[in-house]
Amino acid sequence: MGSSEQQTRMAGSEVVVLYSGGSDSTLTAVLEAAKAERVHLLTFGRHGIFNVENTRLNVDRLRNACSGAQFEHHILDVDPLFRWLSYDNYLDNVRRHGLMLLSTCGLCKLSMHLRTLLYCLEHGVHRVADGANHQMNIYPAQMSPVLDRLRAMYAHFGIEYGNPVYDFDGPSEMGVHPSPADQAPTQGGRSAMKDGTTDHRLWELGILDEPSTKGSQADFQMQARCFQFVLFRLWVHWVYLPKHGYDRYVEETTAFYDERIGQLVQELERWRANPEESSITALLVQAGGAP
Amino acid sequence: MKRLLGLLLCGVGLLLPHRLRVLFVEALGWFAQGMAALVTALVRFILVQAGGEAPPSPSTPDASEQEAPSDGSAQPDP
Repeated sequence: MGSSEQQTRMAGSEVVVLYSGGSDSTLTAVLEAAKAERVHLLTFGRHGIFNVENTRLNVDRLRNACSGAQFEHHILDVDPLFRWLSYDNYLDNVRRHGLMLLSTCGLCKLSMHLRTLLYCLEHGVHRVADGANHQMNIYPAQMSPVLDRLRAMYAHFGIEYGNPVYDFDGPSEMGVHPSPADQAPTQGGRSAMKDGTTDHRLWELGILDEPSTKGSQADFQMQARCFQFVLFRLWVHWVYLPKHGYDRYVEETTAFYDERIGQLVQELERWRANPEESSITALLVQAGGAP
Repeated sequence: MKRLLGLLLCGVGLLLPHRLRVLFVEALGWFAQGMAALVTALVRFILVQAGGEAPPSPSTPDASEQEAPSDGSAQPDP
């Protein structure tokens, strides 16, 4: 393992990584495994996400490459949480936010963050990391201002949230030109390094067989398949951006997620105070796992 | 035209409940995938017929072009 990945592991330290099986989250797991003794890899499934088991391929590679850390891999269902976040007060939200409700990828990721937060509270884990990358800046949950809102949500519950591969190079076709917000100096839990692409780094570490996997057959074989981004990208690229531009997209997206995250924090507080009366408990039971 | 088509598809998507929206987007995704595969196959066919060499498929990068680093950094964590 390279020197940048070799750090001192703190005894008893644990971290949760939102794990898709792709190169960004796999390198995130490698970087976090250098600091923590136990890494909880959480992969999420829901209606519309297929072949979630593909993620096991890189989990095995991680176990071989980072023998000093212990990896636990869990596949969790977030379908009821996603449905709730997407369709709660739907008509009112359509009136207020219109086509922003087609921001499927952001809402899906928000349901994953909600499930992650609940998992952390259940297991007493105080650090979370994911593979958010600045070049995927079209996706709400990889957009700098939204990441700051998510960081504040985790901090509210005493959890640190980091994006260790945020500044790595990524596939430029997945985003649009960098906004001032995305060019801002790194802060919070983000990395300050820019070290090529994540798949190239994993290849250097001997975890991947090829230096460039994104979009390749190998990439499809190590990740779940999801077409749900199609409608979201169609809305962004064909409808929204040509008329309003990227800066307004960031502004409106941030405002939308600010509101959603605020509502989520309120609901989580209700759940903490009285789990029986919170809708989160019922949703978790539906998903087959109540913390 | 693109914007109108986008608005139409998004409008339909917005009206659909959860499961139907998933099916609708799956259909759109497979259609887009099919169109992309068709265009790629056609371009390759035309290039081959024109006597040129078809470009390598972007989905199967040639790993042999780059060798593994020799500085030992490819070694797994001991």
